[in-house]
Amino acid sequence: MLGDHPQRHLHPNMRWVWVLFGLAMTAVASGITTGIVLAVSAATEGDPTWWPAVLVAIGGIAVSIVWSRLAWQRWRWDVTDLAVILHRGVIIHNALALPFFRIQHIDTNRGPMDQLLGMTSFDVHTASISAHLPGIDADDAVELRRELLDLAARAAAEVGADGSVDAV
Amino acid sequence: MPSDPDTPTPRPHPPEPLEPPAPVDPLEPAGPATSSGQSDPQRERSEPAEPSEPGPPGEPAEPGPPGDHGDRATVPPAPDTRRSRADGGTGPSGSPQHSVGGRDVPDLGVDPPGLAPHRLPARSLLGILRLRRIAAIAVPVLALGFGEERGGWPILALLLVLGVAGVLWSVVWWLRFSWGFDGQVVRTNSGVLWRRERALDVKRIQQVEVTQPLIHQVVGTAVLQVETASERAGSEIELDGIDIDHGNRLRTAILAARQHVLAAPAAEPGTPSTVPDVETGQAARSGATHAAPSGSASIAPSAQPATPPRPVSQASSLPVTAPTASVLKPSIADLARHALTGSSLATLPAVVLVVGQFLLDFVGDSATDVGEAAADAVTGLRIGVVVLALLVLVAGMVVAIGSTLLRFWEVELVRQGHDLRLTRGLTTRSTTTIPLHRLQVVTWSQNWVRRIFHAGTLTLQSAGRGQANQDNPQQGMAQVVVPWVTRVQLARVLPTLLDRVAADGQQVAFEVHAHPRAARRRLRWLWLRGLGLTFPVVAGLAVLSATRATLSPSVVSASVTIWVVAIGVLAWLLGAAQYRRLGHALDDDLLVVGRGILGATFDWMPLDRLQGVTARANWFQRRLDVMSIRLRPAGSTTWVLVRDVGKSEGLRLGRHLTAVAAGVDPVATSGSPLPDPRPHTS
Repeated sequence: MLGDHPQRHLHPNMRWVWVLFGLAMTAVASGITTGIVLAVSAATEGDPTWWPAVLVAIGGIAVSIVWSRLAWQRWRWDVTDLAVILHRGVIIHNALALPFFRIQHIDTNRGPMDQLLGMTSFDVHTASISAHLPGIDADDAVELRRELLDLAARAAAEVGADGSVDAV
Repeated sequence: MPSDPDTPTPRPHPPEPLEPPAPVDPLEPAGPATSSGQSDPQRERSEPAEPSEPGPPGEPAEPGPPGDHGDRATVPPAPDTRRSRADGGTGPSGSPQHSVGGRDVPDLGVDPPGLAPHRLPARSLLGILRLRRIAAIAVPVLALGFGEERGGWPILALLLVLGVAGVLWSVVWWLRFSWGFDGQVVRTNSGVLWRRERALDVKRIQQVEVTQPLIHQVVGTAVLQVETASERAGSEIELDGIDIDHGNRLRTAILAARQHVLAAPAAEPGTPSTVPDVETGQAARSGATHAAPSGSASIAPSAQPATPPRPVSQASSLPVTAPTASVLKPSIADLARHALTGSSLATLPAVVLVVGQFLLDFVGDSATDVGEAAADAVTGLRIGVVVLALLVLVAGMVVAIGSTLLRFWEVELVRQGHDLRLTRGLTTRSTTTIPLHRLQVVTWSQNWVRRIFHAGTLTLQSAGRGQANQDNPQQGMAQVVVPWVTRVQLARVLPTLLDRVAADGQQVAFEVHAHPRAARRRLRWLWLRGLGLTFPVVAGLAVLSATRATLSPSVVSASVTIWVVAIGVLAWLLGAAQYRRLGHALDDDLLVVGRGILGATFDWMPLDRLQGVTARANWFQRRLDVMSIRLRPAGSTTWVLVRDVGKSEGLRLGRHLTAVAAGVDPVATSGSPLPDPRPHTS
């Protein structure tokens, strides 16, 4: 499972979400740097040197754009015959396999950005961990949730009826 | 409302089909109760005909309003009828009478569904006299009083008001608390202003715990806690102050009901459940040997042979005794050894430090005078420093042994049917029951001292969310801890704990396969990074001392160099030591993980509790072709980590684990052969 290469991407608009998040972080960081620059200049009675703040701002914007593209490439998920597979992470590669048999319930969330851009995020819960799937196309979301719940019920019926396995 | 709140109104039994209608109990109010009562035995008789309905039973809801009115509307049979029935049945203690202290204790598991008719005994109110609660309120107020340096009476008045308010609140809370158990669902109704109804299906139970703190031991009550795998902090159901005997029987009844509910569908294999419920479980993990007939037989060895086969909910009303087998029973000597080799040795020094700190603050300016006086006293007594240190050491050992004995007094782990039960404690007598099928991880950990004696601490983890205890404050799992288990004992009991039939005398695996050498590099790097965090501190100190010229520069640079070399050597050695302990082994449905640095820890995880598998590899790991795999058992925020396995082995492991977690037989995987196993015997 973990060696597979899941095919499905997230919704392309997730990149915009990540970029905007990165820009917001950049704004905050630049603000802090500007504050430090002003404080230092006030302390040393000199002219404020603006280049740290400018560097932080430019660097932040660049990192946001590059990171969002890389992350969107790395985020892959798929529904195999046994489990939901999720690959994510740019520097730290993470792979998660969540078997249908263990699914307890599924949450869907739509924040304001998601609603603007036509996406939904899924939280698939087991008795311990949950898989977070952002950026699902809103049109496919209902179908996907029904599909996952069907697979879960079918797995429960198959495994639970004959075997000696309990999901929890 | 019954005049005596101590006796929960006796419940009517689902009577034998051949029994005559029960006469009215003279204690119950006559009149309208009689007429409505006559119809109830009929309805009760029909109830057992539909035993194992899933969830809240499908019978129509009780027409009467819940609670007290329901008590009045039903007719209890005469006491002698009940007694004769108890003769034919299996009482928990074998005695023909279910009476505790002269009072008749009702049978359990036969409450009408949807009701919570029982109250806690009035003695439970004494439980508010818990030291911790009183201290939590009294100590700050008293401290405030001390600090004020005024007359104490406003503080006393405040304490009095708080005390009275607390007592009143407890009384009202006790009045409005009720519970019930109908053979399938445990209910509680609680709350003074905000009412809360909790209903817990027995299938979801992870652990049942009966605890007796000191005040409860005096009064004869106990705290019964039922835990599930939910994320809610604390236990799902808590009956604080139930009579101890009653509590034990209730616990047995709940667990027996759980066994019956899980065993019943197994009688018809292949029938899909009407409600697709991912929690539909079967009785045993190990397949055919525990199929339903033998399963129920082991639960009810002395089931009434003369009566017709009883439906499930009826049979569970009588707590039946299953065969009890003692698994582990550490002796007092073992407890002493456990105390002297563990972290409880640090108790006394820590306490001394804290008290000393407090005293220092308290004494304040006159510290130097006090210090001189103390020094004079010490030298006056002509006790050398060495002897004093020895005294402190011995006192520390005594305190350690004492606290361990208090905590683990008469500790015993028994297996009763399909449950594991641990009893321990002196001032707080606690009983924890984990159904075998809720056991998530078994851990055996040795620190470096205990390794010398080939003994360790055994920890059983279920998915219930227990209280954080001193052994594992971060654990989200409820734990059962057995101290001082030797390797020989462990080899003997592991098959029992993991519910495996040891075929051909084959032992449960201890040997683990090594991880690739790259893991050692990574561990050494991690140690270097960790220890290297101390370097800025050392460097800062060096710079400070250099600027202040307290020490000569050569000394400073020499010590910094020594520190750097020491860090390097330590990281090298510790990384290698941790690598030696690192390993894993995979059976069909059991994963063994070895870890530890100087000591050794083994985790056994039955894989059918696995909820999901996560694999993780950062940039360094990808370069070294290793990955770490995290296994999540149920209901916990922690995991079992298989650290730094080779990439091919990691992929194989991932596939196998995912298949097992999905409930299918792991297909023999194609691909890379296993690396040569280099067993680490412990």
